[in-house]
Amino acid sequence: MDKQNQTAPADAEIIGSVLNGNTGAFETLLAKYKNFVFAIVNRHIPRDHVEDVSQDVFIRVYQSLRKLKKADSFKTWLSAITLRTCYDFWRKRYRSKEMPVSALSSEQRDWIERTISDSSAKDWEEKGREKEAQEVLTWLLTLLNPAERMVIDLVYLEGLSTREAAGRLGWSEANVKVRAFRIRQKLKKHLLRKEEAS
Amino acid sequence: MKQVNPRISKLFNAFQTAHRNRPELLPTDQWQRDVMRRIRNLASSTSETSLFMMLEQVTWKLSPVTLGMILICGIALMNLQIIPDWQIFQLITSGTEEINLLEFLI
Repeated sequence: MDKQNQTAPADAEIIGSVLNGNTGAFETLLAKYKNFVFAIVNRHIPRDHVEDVSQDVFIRVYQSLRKLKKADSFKTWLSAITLRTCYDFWRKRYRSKEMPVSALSSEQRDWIERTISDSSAKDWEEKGREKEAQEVLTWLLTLLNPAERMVIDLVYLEGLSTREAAGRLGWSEANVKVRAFRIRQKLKKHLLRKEEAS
Repeated sequence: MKQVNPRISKLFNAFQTAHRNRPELLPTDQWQRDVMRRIRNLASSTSETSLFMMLEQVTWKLSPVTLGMILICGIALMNLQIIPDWQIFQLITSGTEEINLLEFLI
């Protein structure tokens, strides 16, 4: 907490300097928060796009710096801009139909069935490390629209409450809840289809 | 995760673990230089744009004044009576086929 209080005025000072025309001062902000932004972007965007999206985040930050009301809350504001940029990345891809939905392979289908069959919690974690988990997750995400993708990331994968997710995305809690409901319907339809049919 | 189907919940535990175990990615120095280059380009283009915007604002602010000035000058010119009334009367009463643009200069 003390550390935060010590760094907050520094951010305000740097931001003030940038707003007064010292573009070079922005590099201090960039150096300070680049890892923070990369970490968020890396959780929501494919690896080969992380650099570009992170770059877009800092461009947006620079362009919107005048709109920042409380320089002390820069980190929270930056986090919101980062999530918004990730969301816009998916919206752009979704609109341009760059996300082909392929069928699951038999290995991936087997992995789903092994995972949902009765086993200990330890087993799930071990299975989670498997390559198939990541592949099935990637496949699953292609079935969702950009807003649902953000909700699944924040609520189901990062474990935030719907309220916290709504706060970060700048949406209403009801909106997040509705999307979470739709995600569950889609998951039920796609992941458990085979088993429920039998 | 409270309302999720228990079988889906199992899958999500696996997904969460996979999500957490995504390899970390760190920015390079080259990436930082690229960002700063874009920021500097943006800063220079922004200053040019702001000058243009300032001129545009001035133009819009001055346009009602300019319009007013044109109206006043127009009314003043009409009242100056550069062409005498008798010439205008003659122009109207005489046959239009005899009128040419140079008639007033003759």
